[in-house]
Amino acid sequence: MTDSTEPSGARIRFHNVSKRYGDVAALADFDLEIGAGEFLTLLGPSGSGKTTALNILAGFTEASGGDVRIDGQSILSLPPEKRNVGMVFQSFALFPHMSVFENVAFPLKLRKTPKPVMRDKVAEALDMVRLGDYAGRRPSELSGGQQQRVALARAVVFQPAVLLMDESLSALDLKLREAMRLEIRHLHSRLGSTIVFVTHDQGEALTLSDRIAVMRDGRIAQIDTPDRVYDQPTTRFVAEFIGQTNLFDVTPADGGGVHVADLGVAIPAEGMNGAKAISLRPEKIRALANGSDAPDAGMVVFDGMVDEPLFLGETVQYSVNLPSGRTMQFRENRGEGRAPLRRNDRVRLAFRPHDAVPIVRD
Amino acid sequence: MMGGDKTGRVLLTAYFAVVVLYLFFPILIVAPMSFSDDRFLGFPPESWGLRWYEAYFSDPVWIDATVRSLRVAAVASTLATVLGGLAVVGLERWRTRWRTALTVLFAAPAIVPNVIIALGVFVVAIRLGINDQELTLAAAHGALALPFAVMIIGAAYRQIDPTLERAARVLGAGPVRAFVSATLPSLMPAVVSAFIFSFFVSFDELIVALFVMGGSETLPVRIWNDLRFELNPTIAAISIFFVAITTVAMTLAELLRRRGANQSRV
Ligand SMILES: Nc1ncnc2c1ncn2[C@@H]1O[C@H](COP(=O)(O)OP(=O)(O)O)[C@@H](O)[C@H]1O
Ligand SMILES: [Mg+2]
Repeated sequence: MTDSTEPSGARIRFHNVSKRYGDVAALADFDLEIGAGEFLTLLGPSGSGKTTALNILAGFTEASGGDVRIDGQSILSLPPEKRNVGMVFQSFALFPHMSVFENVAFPLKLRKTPKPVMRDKVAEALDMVRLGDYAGRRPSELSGGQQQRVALARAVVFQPAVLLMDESLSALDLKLREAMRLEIRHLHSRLGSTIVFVTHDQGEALTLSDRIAVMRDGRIAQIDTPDRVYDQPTTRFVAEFIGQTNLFDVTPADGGGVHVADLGVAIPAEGMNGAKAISLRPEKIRALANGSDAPDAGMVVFDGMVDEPLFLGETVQYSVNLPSGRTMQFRENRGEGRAPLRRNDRVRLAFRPHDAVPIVRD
Repeated sequence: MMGGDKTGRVLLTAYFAVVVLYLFFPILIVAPMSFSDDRFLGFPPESWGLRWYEAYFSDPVWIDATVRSLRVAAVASTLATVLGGLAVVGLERWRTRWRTALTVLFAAPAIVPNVIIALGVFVVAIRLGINDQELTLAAAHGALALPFAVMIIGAAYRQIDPTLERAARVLGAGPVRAFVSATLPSLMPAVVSAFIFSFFVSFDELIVALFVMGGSETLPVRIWNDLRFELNPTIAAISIFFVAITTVAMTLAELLRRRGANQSRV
């Protein structure tokens, strides 16, 4: 679509943007910088303000305060049609009375693109989403996945510097959704436009994004690369929202480190300063063979009793009751050379101190 | 159980037949009378022919009244459809606190008895010296049809996905262009349907026409005046002729409305 010489993505900057609906703060002190050509995902539960942020960027919603800039230019006074952003909606929003070709040609027609150029561009965009043979169809004659790809082609055919997607995949079924993720990644590397992607699906966010902004109550709870958001959550909310985890309250221990009452152990690790809790991912915990010691002297060891094994395919997840009365989860690959654990088996578990992630805030 | 089921079905069928008969009774009487060859209105006719249809088409007074009614209805339905369409867009889009009040206002002509409206229009028209004019009647009829236009177009409007227009905007269309290219096509069947419906609201309206129109009769006024002096089967012929036209037009309107309702879903 674009010459490799021309950098096509734009920088986006939200500067202390707020949006109030009566007493509800849909966005508060929303501050975000998105690099040119970056794939940034706004991830958060329903009602966390993702759509509001996107609609302010697109021009459908007026901000109550703050500023939004694209490539340094404030855009808040521009109507949507002057912002040169592409957008893919959850409902696809294809024009039902227009053919696939006419839908994709629509933004070009508005830009008074000459007919032959228009035909080439539409054909190119449709080829890109592998719908070259469907130009004459009506949207109602396409499957959900195909409609979605038409919407995508229409959003990028005029080479916008910014592409917005609001829950664009959630109307599709699981298989299709996963296939579309690959297409979108592919599209992103090919187009080079800046993409702001909104989803409540952490899987989508983790596979697609350069960075993820995890949102909560109209604010960004954490913004980081997918692996850091997953491995180093800084708040309880992020740790629990992304992936599965075990959260334990901690108290400072003598000589640095923290004490975990529920596990009855101390974690001697550094970097636990100010930790209110720790997050332990289920896959970071290992079950030791009967009576054996930890394979690694530094590991933290504790005991529990298997409550419920849960077969997940290549892994098994166990619910374990702790002496303190708490329940926790751990997960292991099947066939690790040890008999599978059963309900009421006593089990000795271990983890590496640095796999316990300090949580400093709620 | 089986017996009960069967009785129920028979009762339901009988009920259906009675309701249909009730609804069609006037037509069942009038239709045969229109094909009578007798000199006076009577049921059942003693001889058959197209004499009264001929009488209608060859009498300039009848044709004049008919054409006048068609003209008035055309203006009235255009008014009702355009104003109704604009009202719908306004009411649905700008959510002011006057919304409920305005909605009631647009429904008012359907609630106020026609006699009252007729009287009001009459008084105002006399005062302004615009009585006995087709445009005055058309304006009054337009107001009478407005609630139906608002209802029909409004129902269709609410079926249309509002993100369509947003999509058009972000793709580069200004507000008007976005409405025209994203919303209007899906609204069109309902607009046509509202036009046809409004047309017939005006076309067979008698009371306001009686008050407003003096010398120049519309078709219903002509029928009314004719009936007062003699009963001849011309009226039966006219009735059946227009029942046929109305049926075709209304069926068309309903089909359009349904097609529109289906089309606005992708
Ligand atoms: N038009 C509106 N009127 C009133 N409240 C709104 C409106 N739009 C959004 N909100 C509120 O703002 C908050 C954020 O909404 P939204 O941005 O849609 O969240 P998300 O897209 O993350 O689900 C929610 O509490 C929602 O109820
Ligand atoms: Mg949303």
